[in-house]
Amino acid sequence: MKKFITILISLLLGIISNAQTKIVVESEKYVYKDEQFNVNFIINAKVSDFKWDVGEDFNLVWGPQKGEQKSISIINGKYSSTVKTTYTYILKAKKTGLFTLPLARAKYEGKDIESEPFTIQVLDASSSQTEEKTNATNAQKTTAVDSDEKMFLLVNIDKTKLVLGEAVNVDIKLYTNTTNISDVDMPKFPSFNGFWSQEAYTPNKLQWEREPYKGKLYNVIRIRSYTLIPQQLGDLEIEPITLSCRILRRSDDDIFSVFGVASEYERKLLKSKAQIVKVSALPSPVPIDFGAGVGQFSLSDKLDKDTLTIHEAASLLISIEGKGNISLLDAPIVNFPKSFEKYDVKESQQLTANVTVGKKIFEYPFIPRAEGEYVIPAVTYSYYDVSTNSYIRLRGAEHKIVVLKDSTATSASVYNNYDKKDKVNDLAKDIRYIIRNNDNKYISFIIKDKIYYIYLLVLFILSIIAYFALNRIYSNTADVVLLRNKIATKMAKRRLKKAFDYLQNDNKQLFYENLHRAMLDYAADKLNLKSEELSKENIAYQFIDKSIDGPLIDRYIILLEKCEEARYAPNNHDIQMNLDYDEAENIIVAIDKGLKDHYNNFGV
Amino acid sequence: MFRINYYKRVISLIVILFISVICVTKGAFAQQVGSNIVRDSSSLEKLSLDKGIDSSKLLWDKAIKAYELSNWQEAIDAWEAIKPRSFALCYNLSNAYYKNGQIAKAVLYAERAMKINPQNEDIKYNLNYINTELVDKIDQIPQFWLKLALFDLINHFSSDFWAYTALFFIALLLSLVVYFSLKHNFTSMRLFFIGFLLLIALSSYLISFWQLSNYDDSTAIIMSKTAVVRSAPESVNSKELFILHEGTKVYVSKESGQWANIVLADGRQGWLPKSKFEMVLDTNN
Repeated sequence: MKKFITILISLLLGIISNAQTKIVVESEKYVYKDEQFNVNFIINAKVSDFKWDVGEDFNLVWGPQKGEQKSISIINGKYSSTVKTTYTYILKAKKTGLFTLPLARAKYEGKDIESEPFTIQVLDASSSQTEEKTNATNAQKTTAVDSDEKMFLLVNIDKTKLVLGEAVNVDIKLYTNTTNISDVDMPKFPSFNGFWSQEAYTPNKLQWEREPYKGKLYNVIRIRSYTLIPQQLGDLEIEPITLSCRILRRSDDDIFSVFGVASEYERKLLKSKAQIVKVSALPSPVPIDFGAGVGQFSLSDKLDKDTLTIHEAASLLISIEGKGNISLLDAPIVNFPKSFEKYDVKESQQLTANVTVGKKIFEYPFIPRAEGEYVIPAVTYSYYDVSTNSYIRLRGAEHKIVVLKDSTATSASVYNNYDKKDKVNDLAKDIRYIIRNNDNKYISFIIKDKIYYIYLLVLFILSIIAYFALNRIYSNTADVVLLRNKIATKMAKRRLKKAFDYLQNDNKQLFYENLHRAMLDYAADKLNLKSEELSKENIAYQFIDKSIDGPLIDRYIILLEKCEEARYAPNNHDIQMNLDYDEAENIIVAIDKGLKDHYNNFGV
Repeated sequence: MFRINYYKRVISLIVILFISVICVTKGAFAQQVGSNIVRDSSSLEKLSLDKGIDSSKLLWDKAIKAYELSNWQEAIDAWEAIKPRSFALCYNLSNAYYKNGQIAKAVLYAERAMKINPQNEDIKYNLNYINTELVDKIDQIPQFWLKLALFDLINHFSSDFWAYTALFFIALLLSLVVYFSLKHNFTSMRLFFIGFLLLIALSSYLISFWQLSNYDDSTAIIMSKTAVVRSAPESVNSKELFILHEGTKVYVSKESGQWANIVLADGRQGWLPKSKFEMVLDTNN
């Protein structure tokens, strides 16, 4: 048992110590063929039996060289010492290609340790001089610029065809095939119009690295890196970057050159090429709960309180985590119950060093204003996944909430504005509902139709007809009058004859009666009078109207009176009867003539 | 016995009353909802035959059912098949298109409904509501308030109402002329009165005519999502003046080939292809 435990512990220790003790490989990632370069194996402990074989791909120029470093430090009273062992080799590549260095082995505390694998890319040397060549021939007097000196700025964009909201990384690097740049300054970075931009890497100190470009190795410094998220559609231009670098110019025949002190400086302005990034729109239809997220995300939500009491503040926290345009995520839409008083959403974010990785937290503060059981429906939130070219919908949890009444009853009065009476708020607005039954109401312009004008014509015709019809009726009655007028004289004559008969028979009563009647009827017919209009005054008046002579009218009246008298007061006047008879005849003839004259003159 | 004067008066009065009653009832008839006759003389041929009326009813009911189930597209298809278009049809189509997300068509049919019955409160509300969702907001040239109030009053009555009012006054006028002619009594006062009636009748007719001429004011609605309005009816050498979006109302003033010149409510004008818009009053209306 004891043995087993010791072995276990030592194994563990071995593993732990193995993990702590390792062989680190330091070398160039990119070399030219026939270029000499260093390979360092660094171990952070004291080891024995270090072995390494150069292998087939490289030639060993020199090495190994062992170096040891010891350092002691006392921290908080604790004594610790570290040892660093370095084995250095100089190699030369045989041919171009990608090669892995053989692993180095060593023994530490009885255990075998190995180095990590290290790959080196070997490039073809260019016809232009490398720095080694120039150094080798430093006897030459060169003050001027090397004609093959190359310096340029490159703007590397990961991806030039983006979707709106898709984050992309931009590296700005300075490439040179010389080593005489002392510093760079006066950088002018583009404004990245149309993008949301953030600096992802801004070094304090410039570090040179070797990187290949178009098959050649350059010394490269990464000036700056940005994370860009396009906010506009179309072709967005990334303007050129300008940079000024200070180049050392050494003249070899200067005494100071021996000490490596530069005698001349030259300023060179570098400018990168402008680049176009094509931004296309997100595919439609865009989901209604899309929150502007492009990338890969996950959603989690929770309430910050388990139990809620009326008028007590609480919050719903929704956290969206993942990779993409985190900073630009919109707040998800949460449908709170109507009696919950909502406040502005608070946003906060936690991002890693990489701006596109992290999480954004949305806090939805609210205060429930009425007790009861409520449900906050599960929040849905869609984002666009570039890798699958599709929208992915995230779902939160449904929250069932019970809002308890406040223990202190009096507190309700403080909030009585909300509790008791509330203005009826519009929950939503919408168009009005459809009409269920077809009203068959069409637009109509009758004045366009011929029938309207027919109506008008009909009216005119009707009125003309009416005119003539009524005229006829009018004239018919006039005819009656005319007729009455015409036969008046005849009627009178007939009556007179009858009276004459009575005269001969000496019938005084009847004679005067008929005479009276004859006179009156004659006047009535001629003047078109009704029986009640047959007063002596009226008859006289009507005769005057018809321009009968005054004296004639008098005679008529006198005779009329005589007849009346004779009728009601009989006298024996034979002679009178004859006279009266003649008088009546004469009067009638005379009046007849007079009326005729009047009619001829006046037509009425 | 011969109460001739009395009869004259009675008969003329009866004639007047008879004619005016006819006119008033005809006028009221024109205002009434339920008038089943299409009055536009050019489309009298489109009067539904018996068969036609039945299939319209079927389509209508089908559309109502579909709408209740929120099958907007089905409702649209059914209603679109019914011709001619009544006020209720245009109103419902506008609703259905709006629910279906086709805002330009919704505006188009709302405007058509407004043409038929501009006083209806629901269509006014709906059009207003839909207009707030449009992209373009164009300022209207402000109009004199008295002018607007007057037009409102006039347009409260239909064109046909004014036409029949004119007929009524003409009838009244003619009756009086007949009456006075028979009486041989044409005093200047009476002549003046007749002249006044004639004036009213003429004004009424002119109002009716004015409403008719206002009816077809060549409004159109932009149908495409965006439409670029240019300075000339071609796309190569003309300048882009402004951009309109779907649902915006424009007035078509002239045409040239495939292009049309449109005027906005704020007075600006320009050319755009005819395919980008649809007229509110087309041959079907």
